[in-house]
Amino acid sequence: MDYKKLVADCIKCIPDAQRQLYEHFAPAMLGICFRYTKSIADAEDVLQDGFIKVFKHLHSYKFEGELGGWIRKIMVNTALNFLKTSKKYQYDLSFSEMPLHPVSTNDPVVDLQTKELAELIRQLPTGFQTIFNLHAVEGYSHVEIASMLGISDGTSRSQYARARALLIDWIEKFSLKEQPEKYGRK
Amino acid sequence: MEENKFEKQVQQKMNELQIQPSEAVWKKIESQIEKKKERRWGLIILFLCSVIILSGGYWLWNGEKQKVVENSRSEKSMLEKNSNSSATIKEDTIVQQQIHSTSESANRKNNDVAKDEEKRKAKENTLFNNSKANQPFNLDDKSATMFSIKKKIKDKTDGKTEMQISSAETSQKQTVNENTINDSLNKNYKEISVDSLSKPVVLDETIKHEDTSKHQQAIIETIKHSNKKRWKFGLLFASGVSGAGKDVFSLTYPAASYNSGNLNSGGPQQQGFSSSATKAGFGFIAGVSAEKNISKKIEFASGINFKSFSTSFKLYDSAGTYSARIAANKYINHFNFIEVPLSLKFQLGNGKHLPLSWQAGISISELISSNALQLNSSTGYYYKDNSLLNKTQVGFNTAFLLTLFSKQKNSILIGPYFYYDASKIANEGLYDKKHFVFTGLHTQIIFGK
Repeated sequence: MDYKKLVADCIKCIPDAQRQLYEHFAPAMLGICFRYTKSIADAEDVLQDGFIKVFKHLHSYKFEGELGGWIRKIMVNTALNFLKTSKKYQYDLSFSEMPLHPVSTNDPVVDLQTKELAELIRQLPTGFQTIFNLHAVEGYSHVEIASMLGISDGTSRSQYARARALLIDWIEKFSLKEQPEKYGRK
Repeated sequence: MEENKFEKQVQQKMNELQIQPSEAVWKKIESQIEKKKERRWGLIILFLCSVIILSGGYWLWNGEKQKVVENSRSEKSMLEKNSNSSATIKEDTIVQQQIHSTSESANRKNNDVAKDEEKRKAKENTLFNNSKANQPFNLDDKSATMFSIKKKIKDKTDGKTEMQISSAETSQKQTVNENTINDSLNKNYKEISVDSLSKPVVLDETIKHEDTSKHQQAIIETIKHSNKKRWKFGLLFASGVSGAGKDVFSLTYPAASYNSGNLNSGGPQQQGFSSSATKAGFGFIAGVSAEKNISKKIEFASGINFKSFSTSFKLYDSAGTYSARIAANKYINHFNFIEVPLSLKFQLGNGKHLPLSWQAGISISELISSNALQLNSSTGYYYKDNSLLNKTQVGFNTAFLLTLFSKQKNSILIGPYFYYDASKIANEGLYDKKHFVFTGLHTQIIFGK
């Protein structure tokens, strides 16, 4: 796909080009939004806000990195804003010290399906879920995460360790045929 | 190493995650993008209208200024001409006296030796020479005046040859202004019988008086004309209470639940959450005004204003997120507009010291920003969505204004102001079918008398 032409046409507000850009990236971006939220409806709200930002700021994209990566960053930031401003996520995004879950010494081989793993990540408390997504999936360092969420990097590290331990515990249990709740549209 | 292995596996799997969004998401995105385009166009149109109004006002202002300068110049020249003509009138008095004495002697001769043609001709020649002798001192119009008088004398004394003299005299060139003055003089002379020629001074005063009054009238007309056409500019500020209600008299509305239709699309619908009562807040209007007389007692007023209205309700949260679940904290919704008012100002009564006027008109406003919250009644959360608000608003304004310092160069207008927004604030959401109402004190400074 010729991204340069597509971006140029989107900047000119050509509807077909906008639709094409959306259709090309929307499924992957909804996957990202889905990992940060607790429901598909919230994920779609984040996706909507994110794409509005994408079209608004597309003129500032300088082709210095991949277009997908640029859109992905916008989606992650939109998701973080959504979590910060949405009351129902506020309770879980407190990053308070919680009892440490036992850390598994044996890292499991993740032989779950993609959607099953994503569902397990979404079962984590919002704080854990956010930090796990940012560090394990997006690849941000703890210092970066600390500045993004307004916490110390130590908190980020400890929260991540707990999230990771909890998730490994669940993966192991899941592998032993303990079925988690099915996710999906309500 | 182990940690990296686990993370890599997770990262790989999560990067593969793709979910097809529902069609409604794109429709919402599309409508938002289009609204932004429309809003941009709205702002461009508003900006262009403002530029046209301001440049038109400036052009008219300059044009009228030039006209006033030209009028004052023509008045000056009229005054100069009038002073000349009054000098002429004085000279005419002398001539009339001469004519008068001549006519008396002619009458006498007519009685004594009526048939002495030679002598009469000699006298007429003397008269003619007299008038000619005055010419370097006088204007041509005097000759016409003399002709008029002499004709009357001739009619009375049965003269015959005066027409020849008159044709010679009237052949001289006369300017338009001089003609006007001559006409006026001739008219007066014709109306007066020959007997009344014995009172030439009275006649002169009448002419002078009529001429002065005409001149004054002309000046008044000029001033009136220039005042009527001139734009007056000013600054205005109105502050007071703004609110949103269902009718003209309501600034508040009680707690109620609303369907937002925006959040949790596809999620389960819950009932029960309602907004707290919406209360009135502070509002103000500030801007520049331009006014112009369209008749003796009616003025047209326009301008461009920044208008800010606010309403308030209570929320739950303390850190930037909002909920209607527990009413505790106050939140103020601001609505900022650019407004173009179009009004007529009617002068009431004949108050000379404190003139009172009634202003009424319409205002076209464009929403430029707002922090207004909407309520999702199913979740009980407030959220911002300005796309639900109608961007263009049309309302009615009215005010009773008392003019202070009306005889000074800059006058101040002060009085109660009322505004009602005929357009709905929004067609859905928390402000569904509500209208803005604003009432306050209007103050305005008009520059120039």
